[in-house]
Amino acid sequence: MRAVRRHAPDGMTGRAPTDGRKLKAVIADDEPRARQFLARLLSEHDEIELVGEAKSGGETLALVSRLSPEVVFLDIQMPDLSGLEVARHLTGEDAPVVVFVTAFDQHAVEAFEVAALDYLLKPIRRERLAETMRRVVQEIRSGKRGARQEAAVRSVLASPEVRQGLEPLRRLPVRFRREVKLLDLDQVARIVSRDRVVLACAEGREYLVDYTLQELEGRLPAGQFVRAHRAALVNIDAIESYGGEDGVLVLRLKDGSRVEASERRAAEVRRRLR
Amino acid sequence: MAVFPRPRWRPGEAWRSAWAWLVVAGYVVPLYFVGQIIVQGRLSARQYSWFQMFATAVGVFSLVERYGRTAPEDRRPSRSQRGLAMLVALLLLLDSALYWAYENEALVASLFQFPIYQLVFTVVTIGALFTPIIMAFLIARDPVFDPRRLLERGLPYALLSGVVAALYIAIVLAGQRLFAAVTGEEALAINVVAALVVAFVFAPLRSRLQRVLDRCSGATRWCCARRSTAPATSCCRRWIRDDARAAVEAALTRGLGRQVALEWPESGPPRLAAGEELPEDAASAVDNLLTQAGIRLENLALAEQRAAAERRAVELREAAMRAELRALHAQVQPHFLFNALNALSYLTETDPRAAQRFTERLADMLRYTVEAGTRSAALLADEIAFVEDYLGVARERYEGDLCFTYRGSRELLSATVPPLLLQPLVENSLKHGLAPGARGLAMSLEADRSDGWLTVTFLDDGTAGGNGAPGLGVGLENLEQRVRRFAGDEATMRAGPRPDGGYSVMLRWREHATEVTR
Repeated sequence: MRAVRRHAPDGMTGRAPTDGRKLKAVIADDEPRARQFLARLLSEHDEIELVGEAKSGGETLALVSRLSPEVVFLDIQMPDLSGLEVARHLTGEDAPVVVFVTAFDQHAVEAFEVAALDYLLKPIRRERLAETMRRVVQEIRSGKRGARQEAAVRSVLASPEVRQGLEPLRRLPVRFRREVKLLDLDQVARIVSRDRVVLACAEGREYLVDYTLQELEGRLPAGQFVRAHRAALVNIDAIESYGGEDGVLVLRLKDGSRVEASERRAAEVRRRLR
Repeated sequence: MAVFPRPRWRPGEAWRSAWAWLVVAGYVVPLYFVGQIIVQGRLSARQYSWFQMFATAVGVFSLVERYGRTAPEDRRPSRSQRGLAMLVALLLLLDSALYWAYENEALVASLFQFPIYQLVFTVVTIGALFTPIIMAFLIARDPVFDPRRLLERGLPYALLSGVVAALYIAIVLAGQRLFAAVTGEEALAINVVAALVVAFVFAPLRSRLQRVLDRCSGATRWCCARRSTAPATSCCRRWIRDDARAAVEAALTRGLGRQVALEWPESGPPRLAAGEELPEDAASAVDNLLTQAGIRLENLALAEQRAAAERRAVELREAAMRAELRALHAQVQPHFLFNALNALSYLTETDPRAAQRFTERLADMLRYTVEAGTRSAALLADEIAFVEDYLGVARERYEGDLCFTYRGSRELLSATVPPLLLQPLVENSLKHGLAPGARGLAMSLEADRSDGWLTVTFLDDGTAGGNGAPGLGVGLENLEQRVRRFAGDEATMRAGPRPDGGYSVMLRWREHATEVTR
């Protein structure tokens, strides 16, 4: 992670840009050539200023929370976390406008069209980029983004074709203070839903997760987690012992907690533990 | 009051069922009206019309409830019966509506001005006259009142009554005689004893009798046939087949009064075993039965075959789909291609010379891929050259050093391997082994030949920090299948992380087998 030409003084991080100021942009792509190419193309636009480049999804999230750019160019295929997942965590009023960049994601592109999200196809064309830049600037100046983009990204991620094309989550994005952190799945002992929020329990702490348990069941690598009851996913590696207590299957985890499997899922849990 | 055609409640829980109370009301209220006429000499018209309205509503509801929803198969009414039932319900409703309107003279007078009302009135009145006939028809045709069914269910009780009465009388008479002979007096206690005995034997006797009758009348067979319409497992089918046999044999034994040996060929109707003689009069009946059984078994076999054919078709479809997927995965991923074009687009501006080299490598790589799709085998040397091209393209895309070395002997370079053997391996390494910020990735290939087996091992020194967890990707699984197709089912693949970091994939197959398949 490195900040390129970072000369936005701290006092100037207020959101709605005044007309004279350049828009701050971040590029996220795992391929250096692709980053260089996009940086070169962006340098031809006066209204924009590249403040950072990220090589992975996790870096992008960190960079965005540190530099609070107005625009993020997000490659979809990145090694740790897909660009779509990254976009999902860029929420709130301060969220940057997202422009997806993709080499080949047929279903995602169709979904972007439907959701009216900006995207660029590789190889990137100058005219297309100029058009996108005009739209982005307009959107930022209008001051109405955030909520619409959040809903659009969610709708794209909800499309079954897009979801099928996504790699399983190898790391779990969680909210940590005001940032997004990527937890290694080995660290996560269980993921529970409580009072309408989903929490990941890892190393004695609880983190807020932006996914529903049902989504996670489909997105986590097969076989690593098991749904013990309606409101809990348990990491199979984190289970120390299990057994029946008064006819209820109880899982005792290495972190000392206990999870009771519901009657409906007990058979499945047992099968997976065997 | 019509609770049609049969009120439903569970045995022993009648008084918890609303239907039961409705039936009671249906009997008691008319009695109340009769009493009213006797005592007061006249009927309260108001009360009577209320009763009628209520009764109509309940009747209509029970009609709809009986005929409007799905019933178990044995009690399911036909479509025409349903239609008739709904017609009756409609007529009853319309009739009571008209009846209600009739009490209001002013309203009726004004309504009768409309010819349409007159028509409706006439039709409904005539229709209402027909409702008893339709109801009688429905009751007569209702499966619940099927005489065969009634007979089947009623017969045990009738028979049992006779048996039990005989038992009772026998016990009483014998007991009395014995008692009188011993004591010289009659004893009523014997009656009590007999009643107790009868009471105790009643339930077990009844269930046994029912079972015997069921077996005789073929009720169990009928149940099996019904079960076979559900998606049956082969076990259940066999059971039905055996059951059909047992039924035929039992029927013959019953009819002829002795055991008859039968032969059951794999196809066609059953035959009498050689040496079995039949009485003259029974021959045609037995023939008939055996033919029927043959048809029945044939049908069962056909159903089985059809189910098997369907299963096979599904399996074939899936296999075809898998093959297609394999073919797709054996090619270069579109992601790779478009990303390469993106890099090329950049290079043409910044470094035309490099762009030219890049284009040449990409072209060589694509040419090899396209050709490999039409070939059934490739030389290891060509595969290695392809990997060099592939990495040449990848080097322009990724940071860090990507290197590949061949560590096998020179003569093995001319060994034949499945085309595009190495491409998924390299792709897998780049995808999973090349962590963001890593210095580079060193890949190597080892080849070894011994006892007619060729072993090819692909190694990398990647850190599993990229996309992750070591495991077989789709590409690698397809590779195993492709190698199997190339060299036979003995071919094996072992893939996993190496103890000293990195990942290794080992493929092994018998070489002479490849000579044959080529």
